[in-house]
Amino acid sequence: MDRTLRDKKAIIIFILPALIIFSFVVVTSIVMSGYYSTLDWDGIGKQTFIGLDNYKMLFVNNTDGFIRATGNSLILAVCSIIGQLIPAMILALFITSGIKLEGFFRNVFFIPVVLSSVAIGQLWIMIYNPTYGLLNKVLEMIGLKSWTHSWIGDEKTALAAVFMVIIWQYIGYHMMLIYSGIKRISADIYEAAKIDGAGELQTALKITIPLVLPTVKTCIILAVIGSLKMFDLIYVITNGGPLGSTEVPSTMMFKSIFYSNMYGYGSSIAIFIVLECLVLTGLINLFKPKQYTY
Amino acid sequence: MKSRLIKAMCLLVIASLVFGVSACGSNAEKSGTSSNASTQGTKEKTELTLWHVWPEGTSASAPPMQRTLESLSKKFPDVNISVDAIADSGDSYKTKIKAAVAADEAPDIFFTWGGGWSQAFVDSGKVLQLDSYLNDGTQDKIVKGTLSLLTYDDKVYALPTSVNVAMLYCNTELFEQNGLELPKTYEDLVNVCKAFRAKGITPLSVGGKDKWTVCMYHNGLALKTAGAQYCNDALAGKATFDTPQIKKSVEMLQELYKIGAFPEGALGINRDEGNVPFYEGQIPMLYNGSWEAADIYKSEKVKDKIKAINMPVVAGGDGVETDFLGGADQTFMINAKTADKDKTVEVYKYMLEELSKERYIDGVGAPAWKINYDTSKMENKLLLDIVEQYSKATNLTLWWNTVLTGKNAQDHEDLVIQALVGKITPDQFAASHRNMKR
Repeated sequence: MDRTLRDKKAIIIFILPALIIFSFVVVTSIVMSGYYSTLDWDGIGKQTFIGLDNYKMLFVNNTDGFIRATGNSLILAVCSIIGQLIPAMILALFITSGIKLEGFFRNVFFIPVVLSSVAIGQLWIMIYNPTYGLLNKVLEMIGLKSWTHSWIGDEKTALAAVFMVIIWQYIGYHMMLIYSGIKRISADIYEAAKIDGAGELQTALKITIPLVLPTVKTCIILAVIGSLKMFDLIYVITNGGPLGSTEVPSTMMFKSIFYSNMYGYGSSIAIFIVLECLVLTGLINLFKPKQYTY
Repeated sequence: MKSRLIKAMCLLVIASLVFGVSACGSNAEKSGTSSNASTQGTKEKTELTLWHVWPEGTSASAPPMQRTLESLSKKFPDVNISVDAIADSGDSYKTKIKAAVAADEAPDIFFTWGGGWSQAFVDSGKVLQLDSYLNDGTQDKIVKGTLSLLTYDDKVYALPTSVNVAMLYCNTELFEQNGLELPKTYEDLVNVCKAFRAKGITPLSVGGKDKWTVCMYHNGLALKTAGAQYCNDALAGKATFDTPQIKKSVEMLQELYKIGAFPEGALGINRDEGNVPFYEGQIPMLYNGSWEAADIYKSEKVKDKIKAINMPVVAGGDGVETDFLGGADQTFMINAKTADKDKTVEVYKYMLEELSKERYIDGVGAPAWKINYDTSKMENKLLLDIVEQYSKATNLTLWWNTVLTGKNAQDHEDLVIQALVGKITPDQFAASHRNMKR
């Protein structure tokens, strides 16, 4: 009894500093944004209360491409799940399969995650350049000149080009999460499987993957939320262009606040992103993989 | 024993991290400003803060600003000015100043753009109105017409620095090599573009990711189809955009795009990337502001080969040779909450007059203040030539994206890009501009 009470006090004391900071920085900001989203305000001058009109502008007869932007972010979410988790799983299985340079590979695959997004963006802008970029030059060299495009200048290819970069950057991140999940599996199970005559592939499919499914679920949630919020790489590489083909809600929010002087409207986009993330996280959490205890 | 040592070490690491982070936090606030110390260390000094967009070593506009600040500190030894400068690449300064004004953290004097761009500042009452300070003869020192973009509701809120006009910079060597002459009319321009394209040379330089560079071409064409006065009237809301002349300007832009006058993948390269081939002498023409003159004069490859001409006239258009696209758009404004208004305005007036002169000396912009400067000493013959052409200007209209406010400016830029690639028709372009005005 005593121990539990003492534990509770200790819990509260240790959580309190972080909770206070969290409330101030995160919760208060969201509440204030919610308030601003009901205003017609240019960020500097007069504020006029207009209720939910900003939200109406977003969804009813929308003219500035917001629906398309939301569509883009959802496409990115789906592509992220497929494009990041499958390679991440394969890479994690690869580096835990007992190879010699496990530590080296682990670090190398993780490097894109820690690089500055702006640096990565600038790098890929150079690669995608239609005249002297690496991608077109390589295609020419191997005789595929007809495949060369103005990758980020053509609205048909820009979205795919940008998504490639975003997906590429975070594969290592998910790989790390799955890797630590795999490391937690007790070696006894593998030994038992070996004795029973299971091959590498069977072990991976029937033992490793099912046991790391909870980690995979976490990865899915992170990938989806990250996609819905994605801003920096898109801003650097295409800034929502050309012709709005790579717009996502966060770039639209940035532009409406800082270029169009529409602070209330931008805040309503921000609130929408928050709600979108909450709803999708809730939906993903409904999927409860079997928890194996061993 | 060992575990106690480990615990102590952990606490030490955590404490040093926390200390370091908080120290970093407070340092970041101070590191943004670098002082321009004045010569005397009296206690009665007025402190002023100043923001501008020309950090040292970034562009040709930086040295004039530096010299202006130096002469400021000599003329006003009792004023200490803290300067913070970041370049406006990717609109970073624009974002910064808007946020600062909104948060009431704007400095005493800050760089900004006239026209619709600063409309929000004026409306909020956060910038100082200057009419009462101009009766001491300042008005007479300023070139006529340069205050138009800095006047809101008939009240003056800023003074001009330089007049920037858009010029068509032509690489005469490339023209000669290909047996072509500089275009005098729009029809000439189309033929020249077709000829260059046939030889595998991209005729016009543009960086479409920075939409304003494309807007310049369109606004220049509209200048010659509809005339400067009409454009000004339309932008002021006194006339409609829905006219055959405005629509013709869109058709012309689309025609240039279709004949391949612009670089491939123009929409994916930004202004700096777009300028590179021009400065390397590979692209013969660039239509951009007079600020390019300084960079052209410093470049090795194209220095003496460039001739600047006005956008060619259009047969049947209302624009004449002496209509120019441009104006005195770059300026500084004063924070209405500045402590010592009289002192700040005094410093401000002197600074802008000096800056106008220094920018002219360096060939960065035509002066908006009447100055007597011995032009024989000036090296940048290109800018001298531009100033001479501009001195004969009968009318000016500024690039629309600075005249229009906030959302309208954004929409205008998007519409130009959509029109460029043929996504919308000239009729749709004109119709979408229906309610746009400053």
